[in-house]
Amino acid sequence: MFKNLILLGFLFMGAAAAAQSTTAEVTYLSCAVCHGDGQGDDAIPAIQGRPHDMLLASLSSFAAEGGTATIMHRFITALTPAEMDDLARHISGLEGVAQ
Amino acid sequence: MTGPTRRQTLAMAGSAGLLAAPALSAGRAHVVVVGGGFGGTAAARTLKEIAPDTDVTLVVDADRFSTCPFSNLVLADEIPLSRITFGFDAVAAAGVSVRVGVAAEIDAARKVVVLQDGNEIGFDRAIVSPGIDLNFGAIPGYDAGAAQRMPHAWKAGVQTELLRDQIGAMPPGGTFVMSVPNNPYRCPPGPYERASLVAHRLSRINPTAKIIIVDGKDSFSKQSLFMEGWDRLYPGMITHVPFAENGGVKDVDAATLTVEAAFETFRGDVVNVIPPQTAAGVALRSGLAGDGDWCQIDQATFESETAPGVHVLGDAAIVGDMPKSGFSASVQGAVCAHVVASWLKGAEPVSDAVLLNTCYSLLSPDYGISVAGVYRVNAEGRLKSVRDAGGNSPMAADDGVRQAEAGFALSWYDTLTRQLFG
Repeated sequence: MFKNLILLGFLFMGAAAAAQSTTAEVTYLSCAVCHGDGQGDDAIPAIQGRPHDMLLASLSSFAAEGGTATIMHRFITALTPAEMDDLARHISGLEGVAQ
Repeated sequence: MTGPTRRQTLAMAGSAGLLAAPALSAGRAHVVVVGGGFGGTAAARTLKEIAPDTDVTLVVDADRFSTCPFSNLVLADEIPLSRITFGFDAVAAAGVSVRVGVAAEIDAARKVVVLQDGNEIGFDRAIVSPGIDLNFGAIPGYDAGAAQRMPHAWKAGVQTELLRDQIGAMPPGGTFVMSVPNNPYRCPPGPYERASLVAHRLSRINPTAKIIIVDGKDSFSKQSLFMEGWDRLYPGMITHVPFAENGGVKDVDAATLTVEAAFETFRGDVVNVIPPQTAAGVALRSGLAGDGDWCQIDQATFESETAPGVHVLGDAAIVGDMPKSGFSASVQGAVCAHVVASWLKGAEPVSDAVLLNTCYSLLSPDYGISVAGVYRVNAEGRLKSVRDAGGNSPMAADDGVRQAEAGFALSWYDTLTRQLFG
């Protein structure tokens, strides 16, 4: 009985996690178009599972450099520092070959 | 929820076109996705991934899909059509019921998708991403028959191969005439990438040939970058005739391979007529476009303004400022899957995320340029371009930059198609 209750608890937690999409998760859907399957053998690097600090540093450097050198430089100006941080945290939590 | 009727279940079970049939269970929500291109496939796979307890059916009109992105490389004879053609086995293996059949109508009132063969598929919510139809009749003289002589090649497949072979058989010093519509249409920079890659091919096999673009507008996407590249790679080969100089195409004649514009007549040895377009017929027949040519939606949720419970996205819809591209459609499909999953669970969908688009164009296989856009839903519910973000590749960049972007284009294409179809 107790075991079943614990199991039920886990199930509810799972359901709650699945029900709520987060902003970073939905924004990442656009990132995934190019970075998505994490094979990493292409010109565009795999990013899933990279450490949060590394991802945030990359995003911040695109923002700091400005300009049009890659599409990342053109995208990143739309994000606030807090959005960059959330996005980096979400991507770092994904499973991927970059781990 | 509305489950499938006994008739539907029997029809589905008996259909040879059904690639995989996880049993539709009572009490589970059923979402039907119409269209096996970038938008529909992204929606179906994303929804099944994030809401595995939802039954997802993807209705595709053929068991193979050839992408418009990279089809200009087929015209350039750089890659075969098979390189850009995908089946749906992996989609089915991911738990999506793939139904091969032509959707005739989406009946929002009865919550069924009606197939051309008379079968019906019931849904709790539908996601409709059927793409475009060519508006035969918009240009007098251009119909399905004329398209055999003057291919549009604006839906990839046999038309692409037809035009590819015509280009290969063009007489030395011949003229390739391309008629391009006014906005909006599928893939805004596509015609100019096509002119570039046809020039790439002709500069090798037919170096005195000419390309004339008869345009239905005066300016176009990435125009300065294209023109800079044309001067550099194919000097003197490509002539762009803007609307102001041709006055608009009045009619075409397949027998004489002639494009008759108001101010000038263009005769080609090969003629590529890209006609005006509308949302695909199934969307128009279902009333999803109202009296217009394109579907009006709530730009935060993709839900149709005319058909509650039906979401429309991709090239068929007006999705705020986003262009009609495969990249946009795949993002919209994935985001729409999150909206639908949230609503099925009684949760509020995310509405403050950022959506991105990038349109890469190749001027040669190793010369790429791009335009990028960033979009957010504003306070009025419109999906607007974010100011001071996005934009074009730099002008006057060196070969390394162009080569790198060509590499990014290929990487984008392979990564996305692996995720959708692999």
